[in-house]
Amino acid sequence: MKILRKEGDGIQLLCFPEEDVEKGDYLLIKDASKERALIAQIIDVQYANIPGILEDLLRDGISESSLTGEDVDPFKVSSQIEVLKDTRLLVGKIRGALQNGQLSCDVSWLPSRIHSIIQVMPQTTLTEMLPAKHSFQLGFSRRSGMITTDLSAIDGRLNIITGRKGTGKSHLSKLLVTTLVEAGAPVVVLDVNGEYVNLGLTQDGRHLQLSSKILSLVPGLNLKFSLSEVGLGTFLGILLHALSLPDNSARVFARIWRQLERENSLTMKALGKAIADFECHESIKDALLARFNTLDDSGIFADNPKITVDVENVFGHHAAGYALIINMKNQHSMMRRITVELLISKLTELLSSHRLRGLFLFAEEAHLYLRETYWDDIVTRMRHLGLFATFITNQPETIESGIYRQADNVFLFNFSNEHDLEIVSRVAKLDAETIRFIVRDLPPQRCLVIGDLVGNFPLVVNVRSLEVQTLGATRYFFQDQLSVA
Amino acid sequence: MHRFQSTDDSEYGSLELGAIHENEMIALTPMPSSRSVAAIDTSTIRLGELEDGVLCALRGAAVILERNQYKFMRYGPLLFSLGNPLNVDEIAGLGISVFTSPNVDLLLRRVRSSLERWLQLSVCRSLSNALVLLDGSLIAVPESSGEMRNILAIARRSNNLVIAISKNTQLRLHGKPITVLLKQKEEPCLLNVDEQIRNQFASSPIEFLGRVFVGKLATFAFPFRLDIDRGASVEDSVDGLEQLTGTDIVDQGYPETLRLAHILSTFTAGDVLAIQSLAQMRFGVQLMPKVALRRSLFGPFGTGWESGR
Repeated sequence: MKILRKEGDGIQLLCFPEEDVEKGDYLLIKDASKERALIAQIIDVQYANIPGILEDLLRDGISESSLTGEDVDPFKVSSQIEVLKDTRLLVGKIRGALQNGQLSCDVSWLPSRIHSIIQVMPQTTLTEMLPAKHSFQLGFSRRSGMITTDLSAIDGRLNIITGRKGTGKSHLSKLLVTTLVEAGAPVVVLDVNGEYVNLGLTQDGRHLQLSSKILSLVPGLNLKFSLSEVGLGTFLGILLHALSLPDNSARVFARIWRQLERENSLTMKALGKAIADFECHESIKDALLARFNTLDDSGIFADNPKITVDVENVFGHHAAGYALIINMKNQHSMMRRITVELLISKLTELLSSHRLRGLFLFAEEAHLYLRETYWDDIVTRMRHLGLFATFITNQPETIESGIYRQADNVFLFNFSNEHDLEIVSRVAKLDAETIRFIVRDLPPQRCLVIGDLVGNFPLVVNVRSLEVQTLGATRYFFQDQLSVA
Repeated sequence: MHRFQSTDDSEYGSLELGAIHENEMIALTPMPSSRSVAAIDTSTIRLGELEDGVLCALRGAAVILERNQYKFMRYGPLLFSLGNPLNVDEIAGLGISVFTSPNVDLLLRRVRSSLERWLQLSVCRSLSNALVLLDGSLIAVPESSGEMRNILAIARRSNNLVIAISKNTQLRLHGKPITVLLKQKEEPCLLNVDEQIRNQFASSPIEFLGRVFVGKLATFAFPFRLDIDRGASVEDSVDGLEQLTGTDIVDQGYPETLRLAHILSTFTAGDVLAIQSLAQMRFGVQLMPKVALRRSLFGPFGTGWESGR
């Protein structure tokens, strides 16, 4: 390989056919005279623009289609011509430098074109240089072994997993969930497709050690809340935001609630009766009763404390890691919103009162149940409280660009749609060119990892397989497609 | 216009083209034939200056059209250096008089010509009843005409007809290039200008080994100078051209067989790069940037001609 050009953080290199370099690979450009090296990542591989190549190819085309014959080439020049035709142009980005064996961000110098030694740098070399307090195996690189990164780079961070459907987003998400639980972390998964419920089982249905740390809850079935646990603020929030209760009705409701609180009789039964008996305008009463009946019918509130879920208790009794899977499969969108409002409100309360040290929230297709005002709340305020969110979506436009900009780690799976690529290109931690060139060609199960987890050296990773039942795989009618998928 | 000769000028009227009359035009009618068509072309290139000479490369190709199938045989690139000072024996071996103080360009032309003649000879020997197309003309100077005469003789023995086609010609009639004579003609036709041309060179040592025609081999095509072996009759020459246009593709008036021979033998920029890199690897030749003397001396002044401004 030879350096051809460098402009800004962009670098172009000539690569000869026998040299094996692909998109996403890292190169170490050592300048022997300076005893330091540049670290560059290849973002695109093109054909080198060799003078006269058009004529050569046209001549080959003519020869192949209508001409047969023999070449007497005593000097074997044709083999050299073939080398030239297949010479590639590597388009790369300089990501950092290596100085005295240490990673450095000083890339202000220019390596020699003539004397530089250019080698492929195994991605594992990079990750091995990063600090790893809680190392975990994320996956494999194309040419070297297992990529091990630091789990604490997810701790306290905002993460986004995105890519088109069927590329392996949920698989990675499950890997992160199980790894966090095994590392002793509390995790809540908002599961819209019911694909996390068997995380404790192997592919053939055996229980893993992990199974004792996984609790799947279905809202209204085994996930119920008591009114006292929920509190007026949260309940009002549901009425206002999920059930569109008018403000004047909400004021009446607050009076009814406080009255019941004073009487120490805050139950669903008592609340229903109190609304029915309360002296107010009929339209307000009707509005309140209609909403109350909806919530009562949902079954998510219960008066019996034995059948309600005490989130604090759940995590308190499983200090060595636990995952609550909130299975919202087949649930109405309103029910999902109510569940999520209740849950986040509860978690916020636990975190702000330091009854929970921190919690990892995995939200699949959060736009389906998370109201707009919550996005910023989760990303900013709740993060400081200890709620660390990971958003998983195949519709990148559902996540605001502001959220992308604040993301600490982004896992990008394949996108081929220009519009989607443009949206994910807004990720502030990486240039749009890299995303466009690399992400478009990623095969399933391979993702581009950007951010703190990889020390801001974007890595293309084959996400490692999981022993657990993942369930989220796309279901096909024609079974023979399974092998293709 | 008639097939060979005018019988009655008054019947057709006459269009004067300088001294050429419309009725001297020969109409060409494509005539499908089972005759093979062969074409030969060669090319050379100077790859760079050496301390003691010039590094050059040579390539030649023969293309044969048989039963609607094009086949080729290509030789090269053959690398060689033309030393400095030039070896007298080697020069004599190339058939050049040592008294002509040859320069590198002349030598390079001669080396190319040697390969070309060898290819032409090989093709004429190995084929029979074929139409053999050469790039250029069939003129020769006495000291080098022997080779060409030999080739033509061998071709004749095997009933091959040698046709040389010139893309550019210096021959002129009445002050104009001879190809202008067919400028107004649309249909395939031929004009025998042999006598007029030979008269122009009556006192010259140049030998015309072929009969000189101007021909348009396809409708709305470019006219070319055609030299056809003088050993063949005019009638056989015209038959040969009609068979050529009926057998080979003559897009734009240029036979496909000869076009392919040219394409296969020519050097592209990629070839040059490959040969230079091979020379570097195998013979240890170092590529040095050429010193732009004018640029060094005058800077931005006086270098316009170099950049083509």
